[in-house]
Amino acid sequence: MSEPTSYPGPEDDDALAAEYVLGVLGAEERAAVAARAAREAGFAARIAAWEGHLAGLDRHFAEVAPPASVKRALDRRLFADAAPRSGPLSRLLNSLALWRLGTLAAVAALVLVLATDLRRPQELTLVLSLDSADTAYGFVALYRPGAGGVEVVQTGGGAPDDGDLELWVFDAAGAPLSLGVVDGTTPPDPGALGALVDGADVAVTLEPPGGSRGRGPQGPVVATGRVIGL
Amino acid sequence: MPTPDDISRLIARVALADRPAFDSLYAHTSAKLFGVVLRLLNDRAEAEDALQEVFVKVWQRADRYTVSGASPMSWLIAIARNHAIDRLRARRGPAAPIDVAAEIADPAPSPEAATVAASERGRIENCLGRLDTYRAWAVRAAYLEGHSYRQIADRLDVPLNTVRTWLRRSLLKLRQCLEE
Repeated sequence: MSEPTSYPGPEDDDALAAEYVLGVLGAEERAAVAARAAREAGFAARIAAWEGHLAGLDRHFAEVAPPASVKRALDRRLFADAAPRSGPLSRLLNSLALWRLGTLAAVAALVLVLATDLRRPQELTLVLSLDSADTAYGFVALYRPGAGGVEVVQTGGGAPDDGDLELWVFDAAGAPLSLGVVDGTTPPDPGALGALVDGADVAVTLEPPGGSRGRGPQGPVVATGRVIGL
Repeated sequence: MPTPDDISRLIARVALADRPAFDSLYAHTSAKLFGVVLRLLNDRAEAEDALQEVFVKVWQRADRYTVSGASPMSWLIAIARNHAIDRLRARRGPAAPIDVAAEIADPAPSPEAATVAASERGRIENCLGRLDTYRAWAVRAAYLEGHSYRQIADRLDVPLNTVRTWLRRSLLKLRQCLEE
């Protein structure tokens, strides 16, 4: 297609916007239309209006569940360089710019900051630090009972090539309870958050995508640690 | 099933780089968007790759979504369709042949179509019904299957510029009907 992309009247602009939304234009013309929409708010609005006009056809697109590998690849691509979750903990660690120093330095800073944080003195905070003498993996986690789930920040080791890292806490009887995979995409086992008390043992294992299929960890332990109550 | 308001709120939180919101948005919308790119690209491996690109765009462009505009699902579907169609247009070699007769015969009016006829969703069907059969087919084939002017012209054995002229006219007629 080599027709010009600028048309004189508003009707022509509108037809061009419609053609773009419908998708019938060739590659070059599509690129030209997209570039123009980025420059001209009025033209972008015409395109948005046509998206609305034709949206009634969207129900003809059936839902098809994508394989889990797509989300994993997406997460690696978008978040590989960032702290795995963006919550108070990762913001705190990023603001301290300490997480790159490793688990011990991060925990020391975190304990100091949280212990001297007088804004919410009544709130019990638990810090979990996990690392390993044998692997590069390191994690720091924060849990405030009553304020959502456990937030985990990875301080070393990177993302596994295959599978997910899963966080566990051992209850008073020594039974492992899952706190979910460390990227926060699976929920904790019932009772797991209740087992998070000062001094409890915690561990991270490498499990199949989506976490262990059975009760308790099935893959190798990559880091261990203990809960510190503040 | 989340409401459109829920999806809007998730997109607003994604604009603030809220990753749990992004995970939740993915969980609620990826099946629909995968259905879109899979139908348009008709190639599973490429569709998986495209879905990844689509959500990268969602992550990057969430701050441009305005609640005042279209429904959040049609905003997301527009990103998916545009990406898939850009891929189709960049493909080399002749496009796969298409069978107009089969596609026209296929979407027989379902019982559902009758019940939604008066509703917002059914309006486009009504308005398409007022167009000539082949023009309505061309609109559907372009929107749902990603057919280009070239493919439509080849299939109907009509010069490309002729197709362009009547399709543009049909689209303006369609808009008039939708705005009635």
